[in-house]
Amino acid sequence: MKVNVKQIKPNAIVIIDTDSFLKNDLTKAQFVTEDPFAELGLNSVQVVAVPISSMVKDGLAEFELDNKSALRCKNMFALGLVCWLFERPLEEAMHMLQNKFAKKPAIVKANIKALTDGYNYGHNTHATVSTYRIESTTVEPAYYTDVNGNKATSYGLIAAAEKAGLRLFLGSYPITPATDILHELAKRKDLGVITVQAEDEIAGICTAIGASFAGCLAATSTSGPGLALKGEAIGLAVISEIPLVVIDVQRGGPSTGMPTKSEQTDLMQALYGRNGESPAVVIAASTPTDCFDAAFWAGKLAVEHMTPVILLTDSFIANGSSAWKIPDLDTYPSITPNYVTNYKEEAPWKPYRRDKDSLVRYWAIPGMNEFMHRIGGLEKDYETSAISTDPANHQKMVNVRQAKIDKIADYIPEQEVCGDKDAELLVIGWGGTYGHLYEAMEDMQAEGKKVAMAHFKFIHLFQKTRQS
Amino acid sequence: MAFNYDTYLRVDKMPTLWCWGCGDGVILKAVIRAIDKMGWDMNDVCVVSGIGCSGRFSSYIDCNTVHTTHGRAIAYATGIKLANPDKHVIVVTGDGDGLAIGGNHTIHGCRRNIDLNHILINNFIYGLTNSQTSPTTPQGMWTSTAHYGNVDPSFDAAKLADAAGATFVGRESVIEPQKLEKLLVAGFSHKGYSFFDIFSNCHINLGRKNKMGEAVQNLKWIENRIVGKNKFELLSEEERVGKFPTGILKHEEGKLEYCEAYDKVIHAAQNKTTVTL
Repeated sequence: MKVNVKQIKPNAIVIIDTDSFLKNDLTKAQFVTEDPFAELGLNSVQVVAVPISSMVKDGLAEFELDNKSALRCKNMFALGLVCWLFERPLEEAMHMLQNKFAKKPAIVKANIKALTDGYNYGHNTHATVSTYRIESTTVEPAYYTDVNGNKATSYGLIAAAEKAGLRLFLGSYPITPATDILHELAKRKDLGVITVQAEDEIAGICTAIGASFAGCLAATSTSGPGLALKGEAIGLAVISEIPLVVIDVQRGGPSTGMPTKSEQTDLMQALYGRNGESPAVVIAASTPTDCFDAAFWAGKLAVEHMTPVILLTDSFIANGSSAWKIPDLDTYPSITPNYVTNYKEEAPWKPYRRDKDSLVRYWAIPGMNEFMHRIGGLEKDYETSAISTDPANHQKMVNVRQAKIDKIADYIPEQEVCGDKDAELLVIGWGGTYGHLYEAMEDMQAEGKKVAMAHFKFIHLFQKTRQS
Repeated sequence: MAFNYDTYLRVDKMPTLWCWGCGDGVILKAVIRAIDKMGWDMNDVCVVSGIGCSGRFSSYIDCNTVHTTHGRAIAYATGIKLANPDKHVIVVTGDGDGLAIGGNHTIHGCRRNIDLNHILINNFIYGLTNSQTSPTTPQGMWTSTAHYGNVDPSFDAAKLADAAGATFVGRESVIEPQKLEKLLVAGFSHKGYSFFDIFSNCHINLGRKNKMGEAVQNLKWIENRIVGKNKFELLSEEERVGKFPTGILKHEEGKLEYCEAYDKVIHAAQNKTTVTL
C-alpha cells in the first residue's frame, strides 16, 4: 500500500487483508502509528477490512494443500468479494480458472472455493460500499465535506435538536442498511446525544417514545422489517400525540428480502401500516445531502406538531455519498415546541386541549410543576381528556387527529417545480429516484420536448403543493 | 389520623375498574404509602404501565403517567429514565404483560440495572381478557386456553430477575400490606433495577374455575404458597415444591447504575478522557 499509494484515488475502495496489517507488519513497513491510512493521508478511501489469509486457510482446509499453495488463492477470495460488491456473477471467473488450470483439477477446485468464499463472505456480512457519488455541477466557494445519506440524516437530527433546544435521543436496533445512523449518533456523546441499542426493534421505538414524553427530541431508526415491528408503538405516538421521528432506510422486501439492495418500497407501509385510523407525517429524502434537510424537517414537524413523522430514505441514498456544503444553521427555520406554558385559556388545562389554529396539543414535561398528567393508548374525551368509548367523541377525535396533520401543509415550504415553464408533461416522483428522473427530464428536453418535474418531499401533505 | 390517599389519587377516576376484592387496590395503596414514606414530590414521579388490569394503575395514581402498549412499559420507562434521571420511575406490569409478551424487556431492564422500580403484579392468570394461561399459571390448573389443565411449566419471576441481573429483588403478597409497603420502601430506596414479584388474587378469572371463587379462598391459596425467606431456607427440597420465599431476596449494593454509567461516558466524551466502568 505504501509503495502504491499514488495509485489510490480519493474515495477509492481499498480491500485489505487484516491478517497482514498486524502490529509487526506495520512496524516492518515503517509505519509509526496504528493507523496506516491516516499516516499516508488516505482520508477519503473506503476500507473493506477482511481477515483474508485466515479465511482462505480455513476455507481450503479440506483440500490438504500446503500452506503456501493455499495462500496463493487469496487473490481469488478478493475477486469473489469484488464480485459481490459490484454485483458481478462468478461464472466468468470460474470459466477462466477452469481453462487456465485445465490440467490441475485440484487447483481449479481450491481457487473456485476461495472465489465463492469471498463472494459469500461479502453476502453474509452485508458488505457494502458507496458505489456512486454525485458531483455538483456548480460549486460555490464554501466549506464542503463528504457525506453519505445516513450520516447526513444523523446530522440533520442533531441540528434539529440544537435548534429546538432539546436533547437528542435515539432508540434503535441494528438493521441493514440503517445501522450507520445508530453508529454515527453513538459517536456523538460529546454533544450529549443519548443512544440506546435496544433489545429489539420494538424497545427501540418505545424507549424513544419514553424519552419524548420526558422532553427529548426522540428518534428511532430502522428499515422495512423493523418498521413493521414498530407499527403498534407508532400508533401509540399517534393517539397520545407525542413527537417522534421514525427513520426507515428502505431495502428490498418483503420479509428479509434483499437487505443490501435498495428498493423504494415502504411508502404504503409508512402511510397506512397501522391499525385504526392513524395519520402520521411522511417525508422522503431525495439525495444523500437532502437527508440532512429531510431529517431536520422531520424533527421540526414532530416537535412543533406533536406527531410521529416517518422519514423515508433508502439504501441507495443512505450509502451513496456526495460533496456537501456545510450548511449555515442560521438560514434554517427555528423550531419552537408548543410547551404547556403557552396555554392561556380560561378553562383548566387538560393533556389533549389543543391550539385553536394548529390543533396541536400542549406539551407538558414531567417535572413541570402543576402539570402532572396522563397520556396513553386509550381513546380520550375531546373536552376532558378522560378515557372515552363514546362513538361520537371517537369520530371527533379521529377527525381532529387527521385535521391536525392536514394543517401541517400550511407550515411547510411550497412545492418546487423545475424544468420548462410551458411544459406539456409533468414528471412526478419522490425519494431516491430524483437523479434518475432529473436525467430523464433532461434527455427528453434534449429531444425538444417540453417537460417539468415535481419531486415530493412532504408526501402526505399534498394540498398546498398541488395548488402551486 | 387515618392516612389520606386522596391527595395521591385521581379521585375523579374512582371507583376503579377492578373487581370487588381485587388485590390490585391493595398494591396501589401500598405504593402510595411507600411514596409518601419516601417523601417524593409527585411532580417528579412517573408511573408507566402496560396492558391488562395492572395497566389501569397509571390512571388512578396522580403524577406523570403513561399507559403504554402491551408488554413494553419497561422500554418506555427506560427512555423516560435515561432522558430524565432525576425522576422516580415506577413500572407496573402484570405477569402476562411483563413475563410473556414483555419478557424480553424485563430481562434486559434487569441486565442494564437501570434505576426502575418494576412492580410485577402476579395473579397467575390473564385477568382482563378472561382466564388465559400466563407464564406463572401453575401446571394442572384450569384456564380458558387449557380446559383439561395447564401443561405449561411456569416461571419463578424473582429467580428470573435475579439471574438477569436485577440488583434488588423482593417478593410479598397482598395478604400482608404492611410487609408489602416495607418491601417497596426498601426497593424504592435502592439505586438500580428493583424488581417486586407481588402475588395478588384474581378470584374472578383464576379462582372461579379453580375452586376459589371467593377472594378469601384465593388469598388462602396464596398464603399456602408463600413462606418467609428465613423459614424457606430451613425447608427440605421436597418441602420447597410449590412454595415461594418472601421478603428481600437479593440486595446487591455498589453495582453501577445504568444512567450513572451513561453520564460517565458522556462526561468522558465531552472532556476527551477515557472512562472505566
